Amino acid sequence: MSQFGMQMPGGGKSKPPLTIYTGLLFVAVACLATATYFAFEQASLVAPEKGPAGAIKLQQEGSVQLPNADLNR
Amino acid sequence: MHIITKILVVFAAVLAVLLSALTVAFTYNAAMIVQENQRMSQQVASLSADIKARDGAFALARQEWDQERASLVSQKSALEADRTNAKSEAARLLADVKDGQTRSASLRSQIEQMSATQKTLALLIESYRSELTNLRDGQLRNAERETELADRINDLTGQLQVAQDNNRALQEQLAELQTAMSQDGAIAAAPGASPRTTSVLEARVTRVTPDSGSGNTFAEIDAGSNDRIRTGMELNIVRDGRFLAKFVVTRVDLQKAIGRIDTLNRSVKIRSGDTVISALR
Repeated sequence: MSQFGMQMPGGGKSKPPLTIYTGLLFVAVACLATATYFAFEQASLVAPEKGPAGAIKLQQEGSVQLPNADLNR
Repeated sequence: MHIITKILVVFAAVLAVLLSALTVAFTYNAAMIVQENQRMSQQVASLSADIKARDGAFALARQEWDQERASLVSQKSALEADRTNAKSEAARLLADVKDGQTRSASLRSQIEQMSATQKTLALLIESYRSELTNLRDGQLRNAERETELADRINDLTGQLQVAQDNNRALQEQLAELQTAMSQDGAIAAAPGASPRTTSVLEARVTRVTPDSGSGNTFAEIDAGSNDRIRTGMELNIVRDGRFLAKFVVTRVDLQKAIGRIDTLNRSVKIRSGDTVISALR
Protein backbone atom coordinates (compact mmCIF):
# COMPACT_ATOMS: atom_id res chain seq x y z
CA MET A 1 0.00 0.00 0.00
CA SER A 2 2.88 2.31 0.28
CA GLN A 3 3.59 2.13 -3.38
CA PHE A 4 0.28 3.77 -4.00
CA GLY A 5 1.47 6.82 -2.01
CA MET A 6 -1.34 7.58 0.27
CA GLN A 7 -1.98 11.29 0.44
CA MET A 8 -2.98 13.02 3.67
CA PRO A 9 -5.95 15.39 3.38
CA GLY A 10 -5.07 19.10 3.45
CA GLY A 11 -1.46 18.40 2.53
CA GLY A 12 0.46 19.27 -0.90
CA LYS A 13 0.23 16.91 -4.02
CA SER A 14 3.33 14.96 -4.88
CA LYS A 15 4.15 13.23 -8.22
CA PRO A 16 3.23 9.62 -8.43
CA PRO A 17 6.28 7.49 -8.83
CA LEU A 18 7.13 5.34 -11.84
CA THR A 19 6.43 1.79 -10.96
CA ILE A 20 7.08 -1.56 -12.50
CA TYR A 21 3.69 -1.49 -13.92
CA THR A 22 4.64 1.48 -15.98
CA GLY A 23 7.46 -0.51 -17.41
CA LEU A 24 5.26 -3.46 -18.10
CA LEU A 25 2.77 -1.17 -19.64
CA PHE A 26 5.49 0.28 -21.75
CA VAL A 27 6.50 -3.19 -22.89
CA ALA A 28 2.87 -4.03 -23.62
CA VAL A 29 2.48 -0.88 -25.65
CA ALA A 30 5.64 -1.72 -27.53
CA CYS A 31 4.39 -5.25 -28.23
CA LEU A 32 1.01 -3.91 -29.24
CA ALA A 33 2.69 -1.41 -31.53
CA THR A 34 4.80 -4.16 -33.09
CA ALA A 35 1.79 -6.45 -33.46
CA THR A 36 -0.23 -3.59 -34.85
CA TYR A 37 2.50 -2.90 -37.38
CA PHE A 38 2.70 -6.55 -38.53
CA ALA A 39 -1.08 -6.82 -38.57
CA PHE A 40 -1.27 -3.66 -40.57
CA GLU A 41 1.26 -5.02 -43.06
CA GLN A 42 -0.65 -8.29 -43.60
CA ALA A 43 -4.04 -6.60 -43.50
CA SER A 44 -2.83 -4.24 -46.20
CA LEU A 45 -1.95 -7.25 -48.35
CA VAL A 46 -5.46 -8.66 -48.16
CA ALA A 47 -7.17 -5.26 -48.11
CA PRO A 48 -9.51 -4.41 -51.04
CA GLU A 49 -8.11 -0.87 -51.33
CA LYS A 50 -4.72 0.77 -51.31
CA GLY A 51 -3.60 3.14 -48.60
CA PRO A 52 -3.53 2.97 -44.81
CA ALA A 53 -7.31 3.28 -44.52
CA GLY A 54 -7.84 0.36 -46.82
CA ALA A 55 -6.29 -2.06 -44.35
CA ILE A 56 -9.43 -2.10 -42.24
CA LYS A 57 -11.76 -2.28 -45.25
CA LEU A 58 -13.60 -5.54 -45.90
CA GLN A 59 -13.67 -7.51 -49.18
CA GLN A 60 -16.92 -7.73 -51.13
CA GLU A 61 -18.29 -11.25 -51.29
CA GLY A 62 -17.90 -12.68 -54.74
CA SER A 63 -15.47 -9.99 -55.95
CA VAL A 64 -12.18 -10.26 -54.13
CA GLN A 65 -9.63 -7.64 -55.04
CA LEU A 66 -6.03 -7.64 -53.95
CA PRO A 67 -4.48 -4.42 -55.19
CA ASN A 68 -1.63 -4.51 -52.71
CA ALA A 69 -0.68 -8.14 -53.24
CA ASP A 70 2.23 -8.84 -55.57
CA LEU A 71 0.96 -12.05 -57.19
CA ASN A 72 3.95 -12.37 -59.48
CA ARG A 73 6.43 -12.58 -56.64
CA MET B 1 -0.83 7.25 -11.77
CA HIS B 2 2.03 8.81 -13.51
CA ILE B 3 1.30 10.82 -16.58
CA ILE B 4 3.47 8.52 -18.68
CA THR B 5 1.49 5.63 -17.44
CA LYS B 6 -1.70 7.27 -18.50
CA ILE B 7 -0.25 8.08 -21.82
CA LEU B 8 0.90 4.53 -22.19
CA VAL B 9 -2.52 3.28 -21.21
CA VAL B 10 -4.10 5.48 -23.83
CA PHE B 11 -1.61 4.23 -26.39
CA ALA B 12 -2.22 0.71 -25.31
CA ALA B 13 -5.98 1.15 -25.62
CA VAL B 14 -5.70 2.77 -28.99
CA LEU B 15 -3.28 0.16 -30.20
CA ALA B 16 -5.48 -2.56 -28.85
CA VAL B 17 -8.50 -1.17 -30.67
CA LEU B 18 -6.49 -0.71 -33.78
CA LEU B 19 -5.04 -4.16 -33.52
CA SER B 20 -8.44 -5.69 -33.03
CA ALA B 21 -9.77 -3.79 -36.00
CA LEU B 22 -6.87 -4.89 -38.13
CA THR B 23 -7.22 -8.45 -36.91
CA VAL B 24 -10.94 -8.53 -37.69
CA ALA B 25 -10.35 -7.04 -41.11
CA PHE B 26 -7.49 -9.39 -41.78
CA THR B 27 -9.37 -12.47 -40.76
CA TYR B 28 -12.49 -11.49 -42.69
CA ASN B 29 -10.50 -10.66 -45.78
CA ALA B 30 -8.57 -13.86 -45.40
CA ALA B 31 -11.86 -15.75 -45.20
CA MET B 32 -13.10 -13.96 -48.30
CA ILE B 33 -9.88 -14.72 -50.06
CA VAL B 34 -10.11 -18.35 -49.04
CA GLN B 35 -13.70 -18.48 -50.22
CA GLU B 36 -12.75 -16.80 -53.47
CA ASN B 37 -9.87 -19.19 -53.76
CA GLN B 38 -12.21 -22.11 -53.34
CA ARG B 39 -14.57 -20.71 -55.92
CA MET B 40 -11.70 -20.14 -58.29
CA SER B 41 -10.52 -23.66 -57.60
CA GLN B 42 -13.93 -24.97 -58.48
CA GLN B 43 -13.93 -22.91 -61.61
CA VAL B 44 -10.50 -24.17 -62.42
CA ALA B 45 -11.67 -27.70 -61.82
CA SER B 46 -14.68 -27.23 -64.04
CA LEU B 47 -12.54 -25.56 -66.62
CA SER B 48 -10.05 -28.38 -66.33
CA ALA B 49 -12.87 -30.88 -66.81
CA ASP B 50 -14.09 -28.86 -69.73
CA ILE B 51 -10.56 -28.74 -71.09
CA LYS B 52 -10.23 -32.48 -70.55
CA ALA B 53 -13.48 -33.04 -72.38
CA ARG B 54 -12.32 -30.75 -75.11
CA ASP B 55 -8.98 -32.53 -75.12
CA GLY B 56 -10.85 -35.81 -75.54
CA ALA B 57 -12.90 -34.35 -78.35
CA PHE B 58 -9.77 -32.84 -79.80
CA ALA B 59 -8.00 -36.18 -79.51
CA LEU B 60 -10.93 -37.86 -81.20
CA ALA B 61 -10.94 -35.20 -83.90
CA ARG B 62 -7.17 -35.51 -84.13
CA GLN B 63 -7.52 -39.26 -84.53
CA GLU B 64 -10.16 -38.81 -87.19
CA TRP B 65 -7.98 -36.22 -88.85
CA ASP B 66 -5.02 -38.60 -88.67
CA GLN B 67 -7.15 -41.32 -90.23
CA GLU B 68 -8.35 -38.96 -92.93
CA ARG B 69 -4.79 -37.78 -93.44
CA ALA B 70 -3.65 -41.39 -93.74
CA SER B 71 -6.42 -42.11 -96.23
CA LEU B 72 -5.52 -38.96 -98.16
CA VAL B 73 -1.87 -39.99 -98.11
CA SER B 74 -2.82 -43.40 -99.43
CA GLN B 75 -5.02 -41.73 -102.04
CA LYS B 76 -2.14 -39.46 -102.91
CA SER B 77 0.20 -42.43 -103.28
CA ALA B 78 -2.42 -44.23 -105.37
CA LEU B 79 -2.86 -41.12 -107.50
CA GLU B 80 0.88 -40.79 -107.88
CA ALA B 81 1.05 -44.44 -108.90
CA ASP B 82 -1.77 -43.78 -111.37
CA ARG B 83 0.10 -40.72 -112.61
CA THR B 84 3.24 -42.80 -113.07
CA ASN B 85 1.25 -45.45 -114.92
CA ALA B 86 -0.39 -42.75 -117.03
CA LYS B 87 3.04 -41.30 -117.85
CA SER B 88 4.35 -44.71 -118.85
CA GLU B 89 1.17 -45.36 -120.84
CA ALA B 90 1.55 -41.96 -122.53
CA ALA B 91 5.17 -42.78 -123.35
CA ARG B 92 4.10 -46.13 -124.75
CA LEU B 93 1.34 -44.49 -126.78
CA LEU B 94 3.81 -41.91 -128.09
CA ALA B 95 6.10 -44.76 -129.12
CA ASP B 96 3.13 -46.45 -130.80
CA VAL B 97 2.27 -43.19 -132.56
CA LYS B 98 5.84 -42.85 -133.81
CA ASP B 99 5.80 -46.48 -134.89
CA GLY B 100 2.49 -45.91 -136.66
CA GLN B 101 3.87 -42.82 -138.37
CA THR B 102 6.92 -44.78 -139.50
CA ARG B 103 4.73 -47.58 -140.79
CA SER B 104 2.43 -45.12 -142.53
CA ALA B 105 5.45 -43.50 -144.18
CA SER B 106 6.67 -46.93 -145.31
CA LEU B 107 3.17 -47.79 -146.53
CA ARG B 108 3.02 -44.50 -148.43
CA SER B 109 6.32 -45.27 -150.07
CA GLN B 110 5.01 -48.76 -150.91
CA ILE B 111 1.84 -47.21 -152.29
CA GLU B 112 3.90 -44.84 -154.40
CA GLN B 113 5.97 -47.74 -155.64
CA MET B 114 2.83 -49.70 -156.40
CA SER B 115 1.37 -46.67 -158.18
CA ALA B 116 4.50 -46.41 -160.31
CA THR B 117 4.32 -50.16 -160.92
CA GLN B 118 0.64 -49.86 -161.73
CA LYS B 119 1.35 -47.05 -164.19
CA THR B 120 4.07 -49.15 -165.77
CA LEU B 121 1.69 -52.10 -165.94
CA ALA B 122 -0.98 -49.84 -167.42
CA LEU B 123 1.51 -48.71 -170.07
CA LEU B 124 2.42 -52.34 -170.70
CA ILE B 125 -1.23 -53.30 -170.91
CA GLU B 126 -1.85 -50.43 -173.28
CA SER B 127 1.05 -51.52 -175.43
CA TYR B 128 -0.19 -55.13 -175.27
CA ARG B 129 -3.67 -53.94 -176.12
CA SER B 130 -2.45 -51.97 -179.10
CA GLU B 131 -0.30 -54.92 -180.14
CA LEU B 132 -3.28 -57.23 -179.66
CA THR B 133 -5.44 -54.85 -181.66
CA ASN B 134 -2.86 -54.82 -184.39
CA LEU B 135 -2.65 -58.60 -184.24
CA ARG B 136 -6.43 -58.88 -184.34
CA ASP B 137 -6.56 -56.47 -187.24
CA GLY B 138 -3.96 -58.59 -188.94
CA GLN B 139 -5.89 -61.69 -188.04
CA LEU B 140 -9.06 -60.10 -189.37
CA ARG B 141 -7.31 -59.10 -192.54
CA ASN B 142 -5.91 -62.63 -192.75
CA ALA B 143 -9.40 -64.02 -192.17
CA GLU B 144 -10.77 -61.71 -194.82
CA ARG B 145 -7.93 -62.69 -197.08
CA GLU B 146 -8.63 -66.33 -196.28
CA THR B 147 -12.31 -65.80 -196.96
CA GLU B 148 -11.45 -64.12 -200.20
CA LEU B 149 -9.09 -66.93 -201.04
CA ALA B 150 -11.74 -69.49 -200.05
CA ASP B 151 -14.24 -67.66 -202.21
CA ARG B 152 -11.66 -67.58 -204.93
CA ILE B 153 -11.03 -71.29 -204.39
CA ASN B 154 -14.74 -71.96 -204.48
CA ASP B 155 -15.02 -69.85 -207.60
CA LEU B 156 -12.17 -71.74 -209.18
CA THR B 157 -13.61 -75.02 -207.95
CA GLY B 158 -16.92 -74.03 -209.43
CA GLN B 159 -15.25 -72.97 -212.61
CA LEU B 160 -13.29 -76.21 -212.62
CA GLN B 161 -16.44 -78.18 -212.09
CA VAL B 162 -18.18 -76.12 -214.71
CA ALA B 163 -15.27 -76.67 -217.03
CA GLN B 164 -15.40 -80.38 -216.27
CA ASP B 165 -19.14 -80.37 -216.88
CA ASN B 166 -18.57 -78.36 -219.97
CA ASN B 167 -15.93 -80.81 -221.06
CA ARG B 168 -18.28 -83.67 -220.33
CA ALA B 169 -21.05 -81.90 -222.22
CA LEU B 170 -18.72 -81.22 -225.11
CA GLN B 171 -17.69 -84.83 -225.09
CA GLU B 172 -21.34 -85.85 -225.13
CA GLN B 173 -21.95 -83.42 -227.90
CA LEU B 174 -18.99 -84.82 -229.70
CA ALA B 175 -20.31 -88.32 -229.21
CA GLU B 176 -23.71 -87.23 -230.42
CA LEU B 177 -22.15 -85.51 -233.39
CA GLN B 178 -20.20 -88.57 -234.15
CA THR B 179 -23.34 -90.65 -233.84
CA ALA B 180 -25.19 -88.12 -235.91
CA MET B 181 -22.46 -88.11 -238.51
CA SER B 182 -22.49 -91.90 -238.60
CA GLN B 183 -26.21 -91.78 -239.05
CA ASP B 184 -26.05 -88.86 -241.48
CA GLY B 185 -26.74 -91.04 -244.46
CA ALA B 186 -29.64 -92.83 -242.82
CA ILE B 187 -31.25 -89.94 -241.33
CA ALA B 188 -31.76 -86.82 -243.37
CA ALA B 189 -32.14 -83.49 -241.81
CA ALA B 190 -35.42 -84.29 -240.10
CA PRO B 191 -37.83 -81.48 -239.92
CA GLY B 192 -38.59 -80.26 -236.47
CA ALA B 193 -35.18 -81.12 -235.18
CA SER B 194 -34.36 -78.77 -232.52
CA PRO B 195 -31.24 -76.75 -233.22
CA ARG B 196 -30.89 -76.54 -229.54
CA THR B 197 -29.74 -80.15 -229.20
CA THR B 198 -26.30 -79.12 -230.32
CA SER B 199 -26.21 -75.59 -228.70
CA VAL B 200 -25.69 -74.47 -225.10
CA LEU B 201 -28.84 -74.39 -223.02
CA GLU B 202 -29.71 -70.90 -221.78
CA ALA B 203 -32.62 -69.91 -219.54
CA ARG B 204 -33.58 -67.21 -217.02
CA VAL B 205 -34.37 -67.43 -213.36
CA THR B 206 -37.98 -66.42 -212.89
CA ARG B 207 -38.37 -66.90 -209.14
CA VAL B 208 -36.19 -67.57 -206.14
CA THR B 209 -37.70 -69.23 -203.06
CA PRO B 210 -35.69 -70.01 -199.88
CA ASP B 211 -36.74 -73.13 -197.97
CA SER B 212 -36.57 -72.48 -194.22
CA GLY B 213 -37.07 -76.14 -193.37
CA SER B 214 -34.05 -77.51 -195.19
CA GLY B 215 -32.12 -74.28 -195.43
CA ASN B 216 -31.77 -74.59 -199.18
CA THR B 217 -32.76 -72.06 -201.80
CA PHE B 218 -34.84 -73.14 -204.74
CA ALA B 219 -35.26 -71.31 -208.02
CA GLU B 220 -37.56 -71.63 -211.01
CA ILE B 221 -36.33 -71.19 -214.59
CA ASP B 222 -38.20 -70.66 -217.83
CA ALA B 223 -36.94 -73.84 -219.50
CA GLY B 224 -38.41 -77.33 -219.21
CA SER B 225 -38.49 -80.73 -220.79
CA ASN B 226 -39.07 -79.15 -224.19
CA ASP B 227 -35.58 -77.64 -223.80
CA ARG B 228 -34.15 -81.09 -222.93
CA ILE B 229 -34.00 -80.30 -219.23
CA ARG B 230 -33.91 -83.45 -217.20
CA THR B 231 -34.17 -84.08 -213.48
CA GLY B 232 -30.76 -84.15 -211.84
CA MET B 233 -29.08 -81.98 -214.46
CA GLU B 234 -26.58 -79.47 -213.12
CA LEU B 235 -26.63 -76.06 -214.73
CA ASN B 236 -24.69 -72.88 -214.04
CA ILE B 237 -26.15 -69.60 -212.88
CA VAL B 238 -24.19 -66.60 -214.17
CA ARG B 239 -24.64 -62.82 -214.07
CA ASP B 240 -22.84 -60.45 -216.36
CA GLY B 241 -20.63 -63.36 -217.48
CA ARG B 242 -19.61 -64.13 -213.93
CA PHE B 243 -20.33 -67.52 -212.37
CA LEU B 244 -22.54 -67.38 -209.31
CA ALA B 245 -23.78 -70.86 -208.34
CA LYS B 246 -24.87 -74.28 -209.49
CA PHE B 247 -28.48 -75.13 -210.36
CA VAL B 248 -29.48 -78.74 -209.67
CA VAL B 249 -32.81 -79.58 -211.35
CA THR B 250 -35.25 -81.28 -209.01
CA ARG B 251 -38.52 -81.05 -210.93
CA VAL B 252 -39.22 -80.49 -214.60
CA ASP B 253 -42.28 -79.32 -216.47
CA LEU B 254 -42.73 -78.71 -220.15
CA GLN B 255 -41.88 -75.04 -220.06
CA LYS B 256 -40.28 -74.59 -216.63
CA ALA B 257 -38.15 -76.36 -214.18
CA ILE B 258 -37.44 -76.07 -210.46
CA GLY B 259 -34.07 -76.76 -208.93
CA ARG B 260 -31.91 -76.33 -205.86
CA ILE B 261 -29.27 -73.60 -205.83
CA ASP B 262 -25.83 -74.71 -204.74
CA THR B 263 -23.65 -71.66 -203.95
CA LEU B 264 -20.56 -73.84 -203.29
CA ASN B 265 -20.21 -72.21 -199.82
CA ARG B 266 -19.96 -68.78 -201.32
CA SER B 267 -21.91 -65.79 -200.19
CA VAL B 268 -23.83 -64.99 -203.36
CA LYS B 269 -27.45 -64.03 -203.81
CA ILE B 270 -29.43 -65.31 -206.77
CA ARG B 271 -32.02 -62.92 -208.14
CA SER B 272 -34.74 -63.18 -210.74
CA GLY B 273 -33.33 -62.49 -214.13
CA ASP B 274 -30.04 -64.25 -213.58
CA THR B 275 -28.96 -66.41 -216.51
CA VAL B 276 -28.86 -70.20 -216.27
CA ILE B 277 -26.63 -71.92 -218.81
CA SER B 278 -25.57 -75.45 -219.26
CA ALA B 279 -21.93 -74.68 -220.02
CA LEU B 280 -19.67 -71.74 -219.25
CA ARG B 281 -18.25 -69.91 -222.24
